[in-house]
Amino acid sequence: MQDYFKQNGIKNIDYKDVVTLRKFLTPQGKIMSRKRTGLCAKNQRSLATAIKHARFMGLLPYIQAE
Amino acid sequence: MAQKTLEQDVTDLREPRVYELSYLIIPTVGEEGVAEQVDSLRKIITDNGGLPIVEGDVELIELAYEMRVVIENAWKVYDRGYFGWFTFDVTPDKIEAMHALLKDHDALIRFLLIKSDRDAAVARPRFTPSQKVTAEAVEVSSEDAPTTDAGDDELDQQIDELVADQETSENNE
Repeated sequence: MQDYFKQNGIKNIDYKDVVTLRKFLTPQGKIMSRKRTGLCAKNQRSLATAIKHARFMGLLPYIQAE
Repeated sequence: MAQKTLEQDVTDLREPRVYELSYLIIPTVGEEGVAEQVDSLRKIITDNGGLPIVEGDVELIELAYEMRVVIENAWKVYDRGYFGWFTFDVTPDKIEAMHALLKDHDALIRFLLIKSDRDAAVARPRFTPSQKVTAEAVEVSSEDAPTTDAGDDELDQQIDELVADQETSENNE
């Protein structure tokens, strides 16, 4: 599986881009594992940081009811 | 060698870097008050030698969860806030002072001050909140209003025509 961000030419994963970040959350709001996201290790780390920043700013939930 | 690294560190602190500040302003300030608050935040940046690069539009958003903060010595709970962001150039040694000033800001629910880079700052004008509460909804409803009025007018006209037809048929009988 190809890395989503590499495929779309996204070099910087933005914590404000909530629509993209939501693709990598489970219905409970957890960050998906690398096995499920198919990202490279570097982008998986950036994604986790971006999601955590978005959560802190109230753009994404920490937990979500299904 | 160690001393050289220390010197290097000191010069690094004087080299401007790109930072990003995003903030949530309390919703009670209203549309007029927001501009004033954003100006005060911009002033904090410029007073500390910061040079704004890009500034995002301030938008009222629905928060993903309720935030409880002390504003004017009282706990308050907010489920929405004005979200906006700046990217700016500043020397790292000013960040601590800037952080302290932002922490004391009365109108902020939360803020996030992080390192960024120039490419990211320029190439990311996109803020796509899924829970945005904007005037668009109001605009849509106001756009809808005339069409419904037109619909009502048409209905009235049709009713009038029907009544007129009925009257004429009654007169003929």
